[in-house]
Amino acid sequence: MEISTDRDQELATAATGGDRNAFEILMRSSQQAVFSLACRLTKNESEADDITQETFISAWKHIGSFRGEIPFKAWVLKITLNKCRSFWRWSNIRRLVSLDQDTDRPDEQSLHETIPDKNLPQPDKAFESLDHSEKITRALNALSLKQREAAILRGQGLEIREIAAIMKTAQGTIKAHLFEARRKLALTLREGL
Amino acid sequence: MKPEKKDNDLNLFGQLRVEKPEAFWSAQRARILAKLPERRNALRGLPAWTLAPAFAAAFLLVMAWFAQKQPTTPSMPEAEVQMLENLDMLSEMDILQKIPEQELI
Repeated sequence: MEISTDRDQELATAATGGDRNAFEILMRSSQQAVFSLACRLTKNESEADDITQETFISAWKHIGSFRGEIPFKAWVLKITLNKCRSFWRWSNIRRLVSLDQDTDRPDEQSLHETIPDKNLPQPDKAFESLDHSEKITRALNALSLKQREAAILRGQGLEIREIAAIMKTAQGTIKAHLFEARRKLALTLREGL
Repeated sequence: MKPEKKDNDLNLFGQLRVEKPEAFWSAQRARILAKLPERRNALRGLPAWTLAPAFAAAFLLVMAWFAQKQPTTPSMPEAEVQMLENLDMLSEMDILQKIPEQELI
């Protein structure tokens, strides 16, 4: 559901006054995008669910600072990206101090596994037998972190300038990230543009 | 960016969206809404200067209250007034007694 920035501002003003229904409408418009970004970046649905909750609670607390200059979805995705980056930093620290060696989630993919490995062979037959979500995961692994963030945000229908604002990066750099992501994903997913 | 390019991007990068049934999104929203903290008051988020008139009015009220509480000179009890009047009369009587009788005639 796409809603205009003016409408976002009206709803945000109502939410500032404590109107939960207004906030729920805003949440509906961005919930899938927030969860998708968190899920694709953390590669863990449980963590993504936590990040989604934290994101919207944070948005509720700071809704007064939303000025309507960008759509609410872009504003809330910025919060999500910051939370995902914090999650990555903490994961990295945990991995460095080896506290996650005896994790209770053995199927969870750790951070070092998400770093693209160009030398890893991916036989075509094995690739075709994978289901769609596994193909997506492998395709994402072929991207650098910045390319991945830009590609996921672009997949939510955001404009280049909005992605640039969220990632605090120049628009030209975002275009370059998307160009590379497009090429690698199309190659990996075997789909033409 | 041209519209067809954006459409192509949505076709390709749109595959990165996570699809879930509506029940999943509803349950997640319900959990989040239940965890939202209550607003302390409806004034949160307003610029600080909007509170200035309220502070000024409160200040004036406090000043007015203090002014009313200023100590006043306590009124004299009725018995004391009566006693003073009697003393005055006595002193006047003394004066009369000291005047020679001849002068009074």
